[in-house]
Amino acid sequence: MTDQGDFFFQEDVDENPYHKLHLEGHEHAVRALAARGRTLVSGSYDSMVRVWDIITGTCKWVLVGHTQKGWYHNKHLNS
Amino acid sequence: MTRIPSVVTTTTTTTTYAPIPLPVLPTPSTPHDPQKYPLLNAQLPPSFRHFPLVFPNGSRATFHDTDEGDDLLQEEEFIGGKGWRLVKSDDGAGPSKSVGLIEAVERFARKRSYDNDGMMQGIETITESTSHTPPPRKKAKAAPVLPKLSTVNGAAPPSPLPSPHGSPPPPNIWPSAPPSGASSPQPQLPIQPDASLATLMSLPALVSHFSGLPVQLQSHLLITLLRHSPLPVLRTVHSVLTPILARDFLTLLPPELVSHVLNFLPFNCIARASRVSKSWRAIIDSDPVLWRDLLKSEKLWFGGDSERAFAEALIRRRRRAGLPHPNDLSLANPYKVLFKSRYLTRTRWINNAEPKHLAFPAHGRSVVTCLLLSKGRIISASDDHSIHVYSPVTGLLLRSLSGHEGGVWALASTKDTLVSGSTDRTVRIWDLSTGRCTHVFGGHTSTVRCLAIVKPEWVDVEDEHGNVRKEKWPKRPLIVTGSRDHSLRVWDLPRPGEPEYRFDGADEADIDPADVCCFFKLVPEFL
Repeated sequence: MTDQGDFFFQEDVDENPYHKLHLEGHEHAVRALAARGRTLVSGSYDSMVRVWDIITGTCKWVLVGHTQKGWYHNKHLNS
Repeated sequence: MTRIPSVVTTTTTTTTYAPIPLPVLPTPSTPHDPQKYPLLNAQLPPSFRHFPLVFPNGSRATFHDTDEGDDLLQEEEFIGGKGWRLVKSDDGAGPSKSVGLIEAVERFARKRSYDNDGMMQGIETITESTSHTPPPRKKAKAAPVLPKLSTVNGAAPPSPLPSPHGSPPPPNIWPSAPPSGASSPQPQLPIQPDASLATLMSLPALVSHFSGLPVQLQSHLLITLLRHSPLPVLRTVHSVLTPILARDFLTLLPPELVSHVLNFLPFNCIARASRVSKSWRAIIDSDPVLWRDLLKSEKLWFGGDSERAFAEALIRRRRRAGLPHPNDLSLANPYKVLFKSRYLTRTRWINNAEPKHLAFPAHGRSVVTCLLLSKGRIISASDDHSIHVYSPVTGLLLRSLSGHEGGVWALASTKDTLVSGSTDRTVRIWDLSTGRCTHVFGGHTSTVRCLAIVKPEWVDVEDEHGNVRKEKWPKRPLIVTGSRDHSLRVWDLPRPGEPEYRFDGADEADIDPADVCCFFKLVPEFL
C-alpha cells in the first residue's frame, strides 16, 4: 500500500510545476514547522528539530536533546 | 487715479450748493443701547486715547481723547510713571500742548491744502474749495461723537466744527464755503434731499482727507466711528476685516517652530487641528517629533526596537509600492501611522464601553482543528472535511469550501489565497474571493499535518568570507508542508491568475483508513 502510494504520488510531483523540494530526514511524523527567509525549522515526533535551507533543500542542522515529542514552534526565528 | 478728477468735478458742484443754507441735519439719537452698539462702552487701550502728535508745521502736541473725561485723568495717574514720562519727553522736545480730536484733524487738513498746492494738480481743486469741509463731513457722519469729544478741548482754535452744544447752528455746517464765508447765514430752507446729497458727494473729500492723517489719528477716528456703529455695521466690518487680517501661522512659520508649537498641544487638540485644512493635516501628519512624543505621552511607546522596526518596515513597503520619499509631506510619518494603530487598538479593546460578544455554532459536533482571523474573515477548518468562512461581525457563514476528502488539519492564508492540508494527503489552494479550489497538490503519502506560507523578505546572509549582506529570500512566496509521512515538501505558492492544477488522483477518494483511525486516536492528545 505504501509503496504503491509512493509510486503514484512521486509520478504526480514530477508533473506538478509548483513542486520544488522533498525534504527527507525525520524518522517520524512532522508535527510543526516555521520558516523565514530561506530557513525552515521543523519539529517531529522523532523528538528532533531539523533546520533546513529551503532553497537548496539541504538539512543544515539537527537539534537533538528532547526526550519527548513536542510540536510547538515560536514563529519568530532569528534568521 | 484717473477716476479722481471726475469725482472732483462733482465735489466742486457740491460747493456751489454751499451758499444755499441747509437745514440743520437731524441729530441722530445718541446711541445708548449697548446691545445695538457693542463698542460704545468698550475699553480701549490707552494708546488710542492718548498719544503724541507732530503737526506739519513742526509743532508738537499730545492728543487726548476727551471722550473719557474724568476716567482719563484717573487712568493717567493710575498708569503712573510711564505715562508721565511720555508726556514729559514731548514737553522737552518743544512747545507741546494738549489737543482734542477736532483740532488735530483740522490742523492736518490745513497742512494738506498747503501741500497739495504744489504737488497734486488733480486734487488741488478739492482741497482748495473744500479745505475745511472734511470736519463737517465727519460731523455729518458721526454727529453724536463730536460734541462729546470737544467738551474738554480748552485749547480749541477758532474751529469751524460744531461747538460743544450738541446741535450746531447752520453756519457751522458749511463754514468754508467761499461765497458765504463767515457772513450772516441765510435762514434755513427745508431742502431735505440736498443735505444727504451733500454728505454723499463730499465722501471722496473725506476719504482723501482721512488718508492724509497720521496712523494714530486714523485709528482714533475709525474707532470713534465704530463705537457709534450699530451691531449690523460692526458685523459687516468684521466679516470683511477678519478674513483679510487672518494669518495661517502654521503654514507661515518655519517648520521647527511649528513643530515646537504643536508639541504643546495634547492629542485631542492635535487631532482636531489636523482637520482644519489640508495644509495643517500635512504639517501635523508629517511631523516625526510630534508623533514620537505623543506615543510617549500617551504611554503607547513600547520601547525596545518595536517603533524603529515598524517605521523601517513601513518605509520599505512604501518604497516598494513606488510611493514618494518618506520625507514627502503628502505621506504620514510612520510614527503617526503607528500611533493611530496603537491608539485605536487601545480604545477599541481596553476603553471599549460596549464590548460585543458573538457566539455561533460551527461544524456541528465535529472538531474545529484550525482557526484563522484574516482580512475580515474567520476561517475555520474541521475534522468534517470542510472549511468554513464566517463574518466576524455577524457570525454568518459566508462560504463553505468543500473538496477535501478527509479532515482538514492545517491552514494558512495570505490575502485572498488560502492553503489547507488534510488527512486526504493533499494540499489545496483556495481563492477566498470566489470560494473556488484552484489547485490540488498531491505528493505526501500521509496526512498533511502542518504548513506555512513563506513570503520573501530581506535577511542577513553570510558568505564564505564572513561578510554579512542583505538578501531577499525566497524569490517568490513558497508553501512548506509537513506530513505524517516523515517528510516535508516545498511548493511555489500559486499567484492569483496562474494556471490551475489538479493532480490526477485529486478526484478519487483515496483515504488511508489507517490515517483516519490514527488521527482519531491522536485527537485527545492534540486537544
